[in-house]
Parts: sequence; structure tokens; C-alpha cells
Amino acid sequence: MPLIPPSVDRLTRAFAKFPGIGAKTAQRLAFHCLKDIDTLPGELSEALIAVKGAIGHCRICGFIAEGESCEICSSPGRDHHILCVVEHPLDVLAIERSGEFHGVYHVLWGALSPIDGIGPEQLGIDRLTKRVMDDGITEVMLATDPDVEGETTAQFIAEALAARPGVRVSRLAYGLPVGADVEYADAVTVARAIAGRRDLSQ
Amino acid sequence: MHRNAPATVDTLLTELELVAFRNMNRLQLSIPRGITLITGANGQGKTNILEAVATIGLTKSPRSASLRESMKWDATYSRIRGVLDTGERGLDECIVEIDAREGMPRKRLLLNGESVAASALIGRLPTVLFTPDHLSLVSGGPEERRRFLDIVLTQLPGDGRNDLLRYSRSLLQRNHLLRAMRDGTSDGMELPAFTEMCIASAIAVMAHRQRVISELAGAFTDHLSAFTPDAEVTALCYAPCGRESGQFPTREQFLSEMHARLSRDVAAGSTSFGPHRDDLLLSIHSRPARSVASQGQRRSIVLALLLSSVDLLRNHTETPPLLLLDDVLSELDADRQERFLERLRAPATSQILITATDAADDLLRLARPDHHLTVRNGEVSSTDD
Ligand SMILES: Nc1ncnc2c1ncn2[C@@H]1O[C@H](COP(=O)(O)OP(=O)(O)O)[C@@H](O)[C@H]1O
Ligand SMILES: [Mg+2]
Ligand SMILES: [Zn+2]
Repeated sequence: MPLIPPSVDRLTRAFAKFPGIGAKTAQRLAFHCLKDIDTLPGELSEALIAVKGAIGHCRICGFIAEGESCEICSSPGRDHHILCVVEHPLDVLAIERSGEFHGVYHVLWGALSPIDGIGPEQLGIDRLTKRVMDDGITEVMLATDPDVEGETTAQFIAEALAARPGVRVSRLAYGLPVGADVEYADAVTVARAIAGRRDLSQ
Repeated sequence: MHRNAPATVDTLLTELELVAFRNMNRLQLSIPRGITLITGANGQGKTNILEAVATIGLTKSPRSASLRESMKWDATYSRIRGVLDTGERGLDECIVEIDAREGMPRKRLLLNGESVAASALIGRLPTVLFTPDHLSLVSGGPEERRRFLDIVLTQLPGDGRNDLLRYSRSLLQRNHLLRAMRDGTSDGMELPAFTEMCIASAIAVMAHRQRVISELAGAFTDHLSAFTPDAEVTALCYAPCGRESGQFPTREQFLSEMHARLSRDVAAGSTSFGPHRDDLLLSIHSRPARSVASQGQRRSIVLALLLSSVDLLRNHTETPPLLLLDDVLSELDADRQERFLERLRAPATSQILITATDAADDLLRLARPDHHLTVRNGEVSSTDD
């Protein structure tokens, strides 16, 4: 008989899949669940199942959504001709916090990275360029991270859109150091990056 | 010469504390101003102590790629703590720790108790390390010379370190893509974008290295003249992308080089043109020092390069760098030792750590150490009165 029952081991391995959680912390979290055996596991599993059943990706922009499309895509108050391209859903929240953007989003769920085998196909760049045409987008703001992968992705999208007439393409000007993440940027930094965005369309 | 101008601040490493670093369980040292001599038989931990000191200055080990190697073999947590006395600005506590208690070792940098990025620590304790490996700086390959330049470059204020990181990351990504294209797993649609990134950061890196080399060259002749009569005919110049003409590739030339080499680069799975092929050319009477210099001339050139890098750091960081001389003085004749040390003494530097296997009379006479420590099996004792 193993000292730790398989069910607890399975829970530990699930926790260990989270970013920043090592084997020891995962084990601590698992044992914490067992300490509160009557409440916490029930609460946790219900929350997870609720998310799994109700949440998917927005058909239009890729952001998280309960149903076909997300809050932002369904809102009549937004400008649906201005598009902001981000790597991750949390970047949407960071940009929303700045209060400076009133258009809609496109979430790539990553950036070009040959090391990780992520190319234009995996990111669905074709879908993005098609959307720009089909939805009559007039401005595309590229808000990918200011690291090598994010910059290259912005460059690639700008090239892909270069031939489309009537689409203004701009790149957010982050004063962030290499390796910085949009999701951690504060509202002021994001607002400044939006205000100082560089036009890439000429 | 600027060498004698007073630095505006004078940062000293006053305390060093190590936990589970290399062969040291726990070590606490106070390091005074001036010259500290550390002696001990081979394999006792002299180099390890200097490595720890250099790690505070550089936020990474000057000898191994990963700090994990410097963690004591049986340990899961290791720490280097240094207290910097910055004079008017007071004390700064710098900590570099490696934590493997969670499995994957993680590095953390702390400045006065707060977790910080490497850029917040680098430059606080400018450091120059001189080891016997440097003696082959003239005769060895370009990689060693690039490493010498980049250690200086990363410690200067400005974007140098950032641009070096960007270039190496862009290059790594581009090379992966070339391999995926060769193996047929990618059609290389994104190659132009990665090439563009490589070129943009490459141009920045070359500008930084050019600046460092021309500033080194400014002090080089003067320093070299202390060791050899050929100083005036010995030159130091930059070969960007290995181009011995010294010609900088423009953006367009860079792009056309990348195009021309594409099929070969795909086959090789790596990029053959760029500042990762840079060199620092050393010549005597316009001939490569590598082939015409005598052993004595080569050593003189190395000493002059190191002295020039001390000046450069001092001029830009406004504090004399900390100098680490690892087991290298004994490799030099008495005359060179004396002249080298004369030029290194205050105000060029405020602290020098010298290691040697024994406190030879010559060394004591020439270095005139202010303090003397001995290391045995990872433990340090003071032999000062
Ligand atoms: N990660 C490590 N953990 C424990 N001991 C180490 C580690 N790395 C090196 N050592 C030991 O440190 C000693 C070498 O110390 P070093 O500082 O290079 O000696 P020296 O005094 O000759 O400069 C050797 O005995 C080696 O086994
Ligand atoms: Mg040694
Ligand atoms: Zn949506």
C-alpha cells in the first residue's frame, strides 16, 4: 500500500500543473483540502465544474465567455471597428483597467515562438486577418507583450495586414523592460502605451 | 588621465555571507577597504569565494551558466548575501538565492529585502574578474573576447544588457525556426519577422560593443606602455560580425546577408551572420597579435585590457570597481606584477581580493596586502594580528 492514497496523489499532480506551483506546494494544497474535507473539496469541485460547463472562448474574439460571445463583443457601447490584439485574456483586463480603450479585442492565447512550436497557424493569424476584413475594422492596435516573442508577433501581424487598404495598424509603446508582461502593467503605464502608440501602417 | 580623477561615490562590499554555496556550509566575512589576500591549498574554496563575490556584482556566476551548479551538492537552498556600503547613500543589502525546495531550482534577487529584477542589482557593485583563463584572451577564440566585452557592457548604465538579452533570445528563436524549416515542421512564414527582430537587436548590440571598444582603446595605449615598448603600434579594434575591415553592416546589408545565406543556414539549423560572430581585433604593426605577439607581449596586452576595463567601469558607474584576481598574479613575472598592481591601487579601485596558493614573499612584498585570510576546506580564518 502506498503511503499516500492514489486519489490524493492525483489531486497533488493536478495542483502541480499550475504555474509557479512546485511539487511541495502542490502537496501542501492537496493536504489543505483534506483538512477541510467537509467543505473545501465540495466548493472547489463545484466551482471547477461550473467553469467547465459554462465558460468557453468567445466565438468572435477568443476571450473567455459564458455562451457564444463575450461581454465586450456583445456590448453595443463599444466601437466594433477598433481592434486591440493581445496575447492573453488577462491582458484584456489590464487594458480595461486603464479606461482608455473602447474598441473590441482579439485574444491570441500566445505569441509566435518556434522554441515552443507555436507558429502563425497555432495562433490563428489567418482568422485574425479575415476578421479584420469581414468586420470592417479600421484600426488594429497591437498590444502583444514587449518581449522578443510579442514584438515579433506584432511585426508579423503588421506585415500580414500591410496590404489591406483602409486599416490603420499601430503598436503600443510600452516603456516596459524586456520580459515585462502586459498583464502586470499598471493602469497608468497602459494608458501611456496607448496614447504613445506608433503607427505602423505607412 | 581620467584614471586619477576621484570617483564621486565609493561603493565597498563590506560583508559577505554564504549559505550552502559550493563547498561552504556557512561563511561570514567582513571585507575591509584595500587589498585582501586569500591563501589556501588547491581545492579549498578560494575561487568559490571570488565566484560568490562576482555573483553579487553580475547576478549570475561568472563561470557556470546556471547558478544551480554553485549550490552545495547536498543542499536545496543556497544564498549569497552582500552588504554594500555606498557612502552617502548608506548601506544596501543584496541577496542572490537559489531555492530548490520546491523541486525546480528558482533564483531570486533581493535588494534591501525586496524582490527585484537583475537590472536593479547590476551596476551597484561593478566587478572585474581576472583569472588564468584571461591569459589566453589574445591567443584564444573570439568567444572569450566577446565574453570579456559583454561582462563590461552588462555592467554599464543604459540598454546594453537588455539589448544583449534581446539579441540572444531573437537568435535562439530564429535558429529554432530554421531547424523546424529544415525538418519540414514549419513553412517559415514567420521567418522574416524573426529576422527583422534579430537585425534590430543586432544593430543595437553592435553599437554598444563599438562604444565599449573605442573607450577601452582610449586608455589601452597608456596602460600598455607600462609593460611594453610596442604600445604605440599595438591596436585594438572592433570587427562587427567578424568583418576585419571594421565595416558595420547597414540594415539593408544585414538583410541581404541573411538572404544570401538562407539555404545554408536552414541546412545548418543556425544563423551564420551577426554579432554572435563579433571579434575584438588586437594587432601589432597591423598584424594579428595572435600570430605575431610573443608570450610576454600577449600578457602585457591582457593586463592593459583589464586595466582599461577597470577605468571604463569607473568612469561610467562613478565608483571604482571591485577587483578579483584569482590565482593569476603568480603567472606573471615580478616586474609585471608590480606595475599591474601599481596601476590598480586606489583610486583606480578601492577593494581588491587576491587569491594565491601560498603567501610567497614576492607576493607579500609586491601586493602589500592590508588583510590576509586563509581558506581550508571551505572555512576561512584571519591571519591578521
Ligand atoms: N557545488 C558544489 N558543492 C560542494 N562542493 C563543491 C561544489 N563545487 C565545487 N566544490 C568543491 O569546491 C572545491 C574547489 O574549490 P575552489 O574554490 O575551486 O578551490 P581553490 O581554493 O583551488 O580555488 C573542490 O573541493 C570541489 O569539490
Ligand atoms: Mg582556484
Ligand atoms: Zn469576444
